[in-house]
Amino acid sequence: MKKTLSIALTSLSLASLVLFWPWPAQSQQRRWNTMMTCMACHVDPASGSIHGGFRGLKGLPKSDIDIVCLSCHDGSDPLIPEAAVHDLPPTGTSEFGTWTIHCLDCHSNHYDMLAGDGTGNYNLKMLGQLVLEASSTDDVARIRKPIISDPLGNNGETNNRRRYEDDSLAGWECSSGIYDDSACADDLTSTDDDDVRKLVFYTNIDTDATNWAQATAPYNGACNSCHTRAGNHRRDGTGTQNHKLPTVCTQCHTHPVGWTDRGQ
Amino acid sequence: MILHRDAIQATRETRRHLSWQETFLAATVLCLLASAQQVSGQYVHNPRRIAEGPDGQVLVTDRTAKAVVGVDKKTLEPVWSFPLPGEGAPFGIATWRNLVFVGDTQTQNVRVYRLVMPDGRGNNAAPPTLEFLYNLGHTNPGQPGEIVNPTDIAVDAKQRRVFVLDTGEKKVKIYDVEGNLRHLFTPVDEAGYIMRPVAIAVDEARQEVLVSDYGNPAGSFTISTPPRILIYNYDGQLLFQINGNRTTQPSTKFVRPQGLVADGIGRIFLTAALRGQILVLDRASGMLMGELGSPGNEPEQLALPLDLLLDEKSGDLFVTNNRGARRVEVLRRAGRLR
Repeated sequence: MKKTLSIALTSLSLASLVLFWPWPAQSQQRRWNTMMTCMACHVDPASGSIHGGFRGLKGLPKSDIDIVCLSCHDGSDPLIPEAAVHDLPPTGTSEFGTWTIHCLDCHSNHYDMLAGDGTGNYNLKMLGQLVLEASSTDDVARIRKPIISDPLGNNGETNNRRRYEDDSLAGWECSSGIYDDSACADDLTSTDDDDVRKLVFYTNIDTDATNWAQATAPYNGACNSCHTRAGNHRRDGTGTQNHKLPTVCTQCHTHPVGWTDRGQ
Repeated sequence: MILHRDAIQATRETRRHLSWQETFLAATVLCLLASAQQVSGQYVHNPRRIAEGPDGQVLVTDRTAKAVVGVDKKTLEPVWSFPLPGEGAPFGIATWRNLVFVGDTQTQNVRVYRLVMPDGRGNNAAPPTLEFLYNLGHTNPGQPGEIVNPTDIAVDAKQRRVFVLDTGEKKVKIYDVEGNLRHLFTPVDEAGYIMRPVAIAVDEARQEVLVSDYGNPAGSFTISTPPRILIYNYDGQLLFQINGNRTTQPSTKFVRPQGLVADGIGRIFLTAALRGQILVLDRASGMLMGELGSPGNEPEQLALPLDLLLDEKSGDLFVTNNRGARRVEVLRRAGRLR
């Protein structure tokens, strides 16, 4: 009896420690992330219930996924980071024409739970860990599921396993649209527009500008990994590469306003 | 817009080098300067809440442009915009006579402006001016206010009361139109829980406050609650709850309820944000009476609608369409009684 009580008290103490420990901010964010459940995104808009109301998102247009994300990240709850899509509205005009960087072009929510480089660093802000197949060619959402245990990868290439397990190998699509395309995987530091980019997004993103933009190759910050036409910090090294550095990009360009510089 | 941006840049410079008194003076001057920088809006980038505007217009808060935008009711085109000073983050909006109440989630205030028409009449040819009067609660301009996250605002014109939903403190705060706090309450549900209130409306005829709430449907780590509409009297006593998970009425199903409006004769119009539709609900029973609009990314379709306004004269329903065609949409005569 005494032993049982002791075990129960110990378990209770441990649980209390986990729940109420003053975790550092990064871990708190992680705890909040873990409170997101499947149904936060997968709820069927027309079901009005949980059971039987699941909606698979695979194959939906990425613009529909944006709506799923923004329906919570709308700024109405201070505990949930506010965000807006990085785009130009269809009614707007710019020298670049109409363009949209959808949520899934940068973020990969499924993989976040398994991210981490083994040293306590996490993939911050759910930034994409895996290549999104043909992410900008047909506007269809496909998220690779994390297959950590896959010994050699689906097609037997060693690169596949490496990319599943090494979360520093975040990236964007290959021009071929094939996730396991070795031509992409072997050329992670290429400055071509269509190759996978090895992202750096593990240090303090609020104080270290290199997470966002770098003035020298391989230009693998979160901003210049995508920029091909913007005036500053393009992924191929052209354009103005020292724009405001070392000021962190997000001090002026923030997610709640879609990274624009309006009013800045 | 360029002048406005210069003004903000100047504000930053003064923040670096000036004392707080000088900064306050500079901010005041810049506020006046900003109020004069009316520009013709080209498009609405990130529309949030909507309110009745000057003759023939609605007013919309644009989070990305950090501005209040006037939109013509007939053409649905933006006709003027008013950038909030500094790093303003406009969210909730409501109007009463010539006063415009704008929730600023950055400064944590509801800013009260006087709408001044250029020639003193309802002339749409020239843009009006918004003249800053005071913050609700009379907090100092430039200082954090007493409303942490003013995401929605409603007005009872007869009672001269302004109802602010503060989703930061999760309170409904009721002010008089002079800016004095009169009363506040916590929007709890039947079980006494408070989850995630999002938007607010008032039914002047019934003297009721309606709050849409996401709830916590999955219920992991916390209590499971459905998405719902909570209805209170003006004292904050819960009168009725319409659940979106079919438990109130089998026909009533919604998730992510956003802006809503009561027409005073027993109907509630609710924006179902994720569904891309407007739902018409019976106030008395919670029964679904109709579904308006269709989801989609094309003009006249709804994608992430966040708020709506019922034009009582015409029956038109104006909707802020946050994604898709990204503009104010209208469902003509949809609010009329059949």
